[in-house]
Amino acid sequence: MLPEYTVKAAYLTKFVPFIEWPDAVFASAAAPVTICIVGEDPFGATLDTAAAVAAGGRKLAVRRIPEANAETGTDCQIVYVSDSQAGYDAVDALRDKPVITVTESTMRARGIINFLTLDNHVRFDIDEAAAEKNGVHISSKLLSLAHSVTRRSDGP
Amino acid sequence: MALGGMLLAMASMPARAQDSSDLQKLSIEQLGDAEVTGVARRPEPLNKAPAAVYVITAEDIRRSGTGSLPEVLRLAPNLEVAKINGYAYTVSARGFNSSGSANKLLVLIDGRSVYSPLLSTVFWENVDVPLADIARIEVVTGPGGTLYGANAVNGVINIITKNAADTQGGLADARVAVTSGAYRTLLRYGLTPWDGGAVRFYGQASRNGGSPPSTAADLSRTGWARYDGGFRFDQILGADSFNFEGDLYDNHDPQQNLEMGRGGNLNAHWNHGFDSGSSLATQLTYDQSTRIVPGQREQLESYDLQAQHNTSLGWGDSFSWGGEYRRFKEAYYSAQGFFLDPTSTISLGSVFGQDEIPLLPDLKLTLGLKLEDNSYSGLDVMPNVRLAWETSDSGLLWAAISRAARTPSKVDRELEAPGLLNPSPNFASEYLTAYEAGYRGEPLPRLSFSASLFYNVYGDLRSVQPAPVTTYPVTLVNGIRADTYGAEVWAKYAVNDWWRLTAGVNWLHRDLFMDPGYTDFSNGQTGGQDPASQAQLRSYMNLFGNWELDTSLRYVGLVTQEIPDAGQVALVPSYFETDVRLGWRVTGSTEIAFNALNLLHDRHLEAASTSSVPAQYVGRSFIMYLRQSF
Repeated sequence: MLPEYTVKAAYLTKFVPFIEWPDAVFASAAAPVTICIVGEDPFGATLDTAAAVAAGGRKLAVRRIPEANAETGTDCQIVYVSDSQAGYDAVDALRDKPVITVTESTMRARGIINFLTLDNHVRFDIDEAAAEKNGVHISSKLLSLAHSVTRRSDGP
Repeated sequence: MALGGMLLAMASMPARAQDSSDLQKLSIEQLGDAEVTGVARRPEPLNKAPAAVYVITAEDIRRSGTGSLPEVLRLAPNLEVAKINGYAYTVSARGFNSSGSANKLLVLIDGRSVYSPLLSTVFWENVDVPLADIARIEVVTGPGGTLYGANAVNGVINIITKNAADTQGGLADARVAVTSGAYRTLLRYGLTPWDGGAVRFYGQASRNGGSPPSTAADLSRTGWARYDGGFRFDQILGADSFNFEGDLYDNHDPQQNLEMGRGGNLNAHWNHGFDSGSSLATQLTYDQSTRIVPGQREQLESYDLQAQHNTSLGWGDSFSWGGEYRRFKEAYYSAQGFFLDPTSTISLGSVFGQDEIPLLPDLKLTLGLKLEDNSYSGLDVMPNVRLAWETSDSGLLWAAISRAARTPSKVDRELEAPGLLNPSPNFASEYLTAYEAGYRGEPLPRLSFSASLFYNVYGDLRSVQPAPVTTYPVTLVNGIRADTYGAEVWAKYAVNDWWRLTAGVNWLHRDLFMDPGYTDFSNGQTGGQDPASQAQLRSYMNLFGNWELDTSLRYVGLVTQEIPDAGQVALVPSYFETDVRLGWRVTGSTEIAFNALNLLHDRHLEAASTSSVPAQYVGRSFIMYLRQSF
């Protein structure tokens, strides 16, 4: 048995190799993929440890943004928000940006990736349609691991 | 019947990492197997339990094109499924499959046992679940006595329904057979009344017109209609999760306008995760059912309380222990008599403990024991020992020795017909000692593979002892021994992004022997009706434009009955059958599909008639299916 957020922290870093952002979001070829935590931080040091030992591709950087504003997260590649109104406002503000928003919501306000815990296991849903709209490509491998996927061609 | 799964306690192989840097060594797939403590629902099977486990996923069910729970079970290559008539099925594993002998498989729906202690079998016509609500079905073959208790002899089927948070909004589906008009339809709605809570409600109606008889003497009509409805509520409160669910059903024969049964159940689970990482799972169940055959009425009412604590004894092990108390009242009324006292009240108590001990980083030993005592037939002892070795390529080699028991039913002990059949108050439990070994792994990147071998030694199986000289009255006694062995092999292969294949095959060999001094007047009914081999191949294709083309081919070998000390009698010819499904996901919320089931033959038989249940034909059918979510 593992702490839930240790597993979620591992997921956050392990998603990265399966996601392709537009080149323009990185300042240089050496620029890291930045994972931002908006609002309450449930991970603590576990996320930093996970990011430090993550292998392959670009390096990972972790940034914490306790107070969200309109520009919050636009320079991050992955933005995790906790289950809070401020968090969902941030998700809304990022809706048309090439940013993977990550939520853990049972409500409608979900990010591109939404964690859920089913039967003691951490699962995630992916809104592929929303990601593609902003030019972020999610590999079919990651989609195949998702609990459910909102496909590009699906939806009203 | 211990809470949770057999696997659970013995499972946690793959992702038992201690901290986040260990987690980094796991692949993203393995992360999905990690058990977390945040919201402790019951611990549950992981992919790598040291047992033969086949998991039927929700996606497999959707794409099977089938319309009932026993039909869905055909997806598991380690099960035998035989359709007897318009509504009745028998399901078994590793042999003993017939309406008179399918008494060695335990079936649980969210932890609620649907095994009938009155007649020692599962009446599948009373057991239904909206197929769209099923999260997965875990089919474990081999004894599960240590965790599940009595009657988990040859296997356990765990049907696990979706969390209500996972079925939000509305869903309506309908499945109609083009030629016969048989249908099944579901309406479901889920909502979130407050934060952390979710609930769903469903109603279902289904009807079919029965099956063609296989003999002129069979005048039975087996049309079936069922209405059912229910709910499931889930709530998370910090370290606690709570779930409460219930169902009501009514079965009748629409052609003859006869009531065939009704029932309902309420089932509550409460799980608490402690800061220490241990968890406590409790379950409280009330179940009530009435099954009616013209002239006979069977009633069962049961209360069940279970608790299981998952913790560690402190040497890197995982320890589970718990107990159960169950009380059931059963009654069988019939015009023909049958029982001197039609009612029985039985209480049952059990305790178990099981420890999973890491001997080496990649080698785990599991030791478990259950003691179960019931007021009807006394004490049963069900231990198991398992060894699991994780190979360097993350495969798992495992071996197990376990013991399980099938407890006497009211039929075994009390059934009587003056002059013909004496009651048998000393009828004892049937026992199995099982020796198993297996491998499961991913030998190639897109290929997963599992193989299990078993050697089962049964004792005290039921036989029918004739009276000296006069033959009648006969008596049910524990007079047969059996040795069976066999293998179950399956594989899943993803050819590419849009095409995957699954294949499975199993073999079974049986030998039955009379104990000294016994003869069997039933001619081997105990041995069941089983094929020596079965095989299936399934293909799932995602085509362009959200079209899906799914095909399956299954083979069931010659079904024979094994006569003790004598050999086999052939009963049902072998058959091949194929199903084809063409589905189109019109939008994210609309799906239509066309299914052709049992396409190869006009009709085939899957079982042989017994004295009380005539076998009827299974025919070809064409099905239109529509699903709309809103």
